[in-house]
Amino acid sequence: MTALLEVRDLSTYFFLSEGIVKAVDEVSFTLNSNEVLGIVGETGSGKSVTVKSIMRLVRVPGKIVKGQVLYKGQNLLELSERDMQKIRGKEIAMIFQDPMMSLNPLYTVGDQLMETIVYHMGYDRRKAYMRAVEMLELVGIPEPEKRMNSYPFEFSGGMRQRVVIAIALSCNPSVLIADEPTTALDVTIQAQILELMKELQREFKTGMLYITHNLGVIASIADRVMVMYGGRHVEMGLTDQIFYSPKHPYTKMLLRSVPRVDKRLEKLESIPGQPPRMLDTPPVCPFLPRCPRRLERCFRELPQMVEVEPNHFVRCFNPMD
Amino acid sequence: MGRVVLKVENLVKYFPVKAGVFKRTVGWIRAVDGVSFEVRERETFGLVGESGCGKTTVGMTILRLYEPTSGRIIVDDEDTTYFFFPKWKARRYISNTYVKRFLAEGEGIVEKLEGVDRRYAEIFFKEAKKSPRKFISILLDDLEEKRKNFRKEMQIIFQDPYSSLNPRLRVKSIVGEGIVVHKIAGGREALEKVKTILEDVGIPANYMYRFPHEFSGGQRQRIGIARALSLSPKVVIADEAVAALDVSIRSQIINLLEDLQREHKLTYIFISHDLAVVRHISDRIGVMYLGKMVELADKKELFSNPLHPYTVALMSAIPIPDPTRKKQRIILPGDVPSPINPPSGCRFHPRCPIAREVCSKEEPLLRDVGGGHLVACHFPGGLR
Repeated sequence: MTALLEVRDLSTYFFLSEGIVKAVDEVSFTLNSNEVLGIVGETGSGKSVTVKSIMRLVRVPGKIVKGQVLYKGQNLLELSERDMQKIRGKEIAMIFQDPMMSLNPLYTVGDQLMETIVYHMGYDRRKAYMRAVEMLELVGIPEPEKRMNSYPFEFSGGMRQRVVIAIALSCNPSVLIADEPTTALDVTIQAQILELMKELQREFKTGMLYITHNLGVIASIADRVMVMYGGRHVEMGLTDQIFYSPKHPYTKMLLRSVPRVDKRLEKLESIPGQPPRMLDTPPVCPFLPRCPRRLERCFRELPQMVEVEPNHFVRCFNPMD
Repeated sequence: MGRVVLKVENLVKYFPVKAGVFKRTVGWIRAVDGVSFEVRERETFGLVGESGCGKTTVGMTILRLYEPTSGRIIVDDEDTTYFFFPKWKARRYISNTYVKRFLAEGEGIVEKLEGVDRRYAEIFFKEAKKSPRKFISILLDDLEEKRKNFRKEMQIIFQDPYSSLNPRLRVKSIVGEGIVVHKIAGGREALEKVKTILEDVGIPANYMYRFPHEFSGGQRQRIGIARALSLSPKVVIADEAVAALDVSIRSQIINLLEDLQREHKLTYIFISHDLAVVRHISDRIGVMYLGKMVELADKKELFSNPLHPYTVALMSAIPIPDPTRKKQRIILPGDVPSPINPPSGCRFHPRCPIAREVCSKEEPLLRDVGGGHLVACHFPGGLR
């Protein structure tokens, strides 16, 4: 069985005057339909650039230098821009962090929904209108027909994000990429949106890439998790494996450094040092300078992803037991 | 339990909504609408709520970065409310708040009062001999001094480590400015002080000639903390001090704040939207919703026995980094209403799963339900 989306050795570098930033370095993963893959990492870990590369939205000075993005067996990196436009929004849709940035303030919500539907589905305006109203209703916007004529500023943050979700799902995409969709929202609204996304994902059996830095959100939505650090994927596994038996020292320390609502921790374990500066990094494990378990071997070569138990991969010479 | 260092009484802050060519005031944003709480010496008081609940406004008003609309802010048995008013307004405030009451009640009132009221009453009846003018002039006498002292004792750490440091100053000036302004030390001695503080927060002293842009976010936040501590303040208000930081850096800063509190005997007001962080760092927690304090209790008590439905919903809405704990979430319908036109009665009633008729009519008062657990709800504990 071929995966719905397969990323192989994807590398995106930014060529700056100061040097080369390897924002994404040989990242590989697969996504099946009806599955949520969570990508977790801190600022600068390369999680956003990874999905932007999949959508081919990386701009100069960034460049995809190697790798393959296979969508249903077809390499997206080899498509013409014209063909790619037919993929974006129709086959692979994306939800961004800030709903105010992804909606055009000068057009009504209805126009923006219908634009997508008319372009990709080839519906006439009447049919597109029906579909748009149906979508707004689906994402839980009250009085959808009235709201079709509203402008984005008339909506609250949570409602705007619902509109963005409606647009993303309006053409029945096979893959949905969500880049920190709830980060800008309040917790009670975040809970609403998470619930909605889970529900819709299950209903449409969409394959979803869910990107966040919030471990709590990942735990509640993802089936599998990929942990990124310094442009590389360092660990990948089923959600339970990642949360209950993390193998990479970074994952383990990250999980221990989060304050919890559900229990009192005496002292937070913190990861010493700073996140890596990404300029002209040597080809070793990016976590090396902060790692308490490093070996001499770590200074010489880069560990590869190794399967330590079924479905559970880790990039480390000295993984946790 | 420590002494009360800061007391906020019935704090109200409205912002005008202006419209039209003449910028007429057409309404008021009721950002903070009658909030009271006490902060005790060397504790961390957590203030938690969603955006727009007024938690930041409370912090800014305590520091008089906003002028309060009404209410009192008492620091160490001194009413600081009028400190930053213009003279005429300060006179009016003192007259309205104290003189009128003292004159009406007579000297017998002294015995019944406590804290700042008692102190002021004693000044009024003994030193000023019931002369309002004398009384006011005594209070306003050393106002400059009082203001300076207030600024020294109350400090703030801001959320954004990028915009809160002047990009054109070197670290030594950022941290040392207060030391020089308040004439605590000068020249070489000031420099030594800056060095010690920087080392306290984990920045190597030889970095002090650098500019903010040479530091990472976490390091910048450390510099912001050093600046706040440079004057050995009594109370430090941390307004979303770790919200902008990455997870691994956030835990470093939280631990640093805890260590510094122990070493420097600090009192914190920790303002955050993140209940998990607040739970970790605070001793007592106040939960705010739409300009009101809805629940206030000891941390342990609040988490084991939350009584206000909003607190319960807020707690259940937070995703926990543990996949098997996919608990039943209480999803609140709708959005937070506008503080320009807050709902009648209990401000939470339109979203409350257990609201009854009375909730839309009568505003519940914040009352003690035992053991210092305060809650403003007609049906406390009705939602679990």
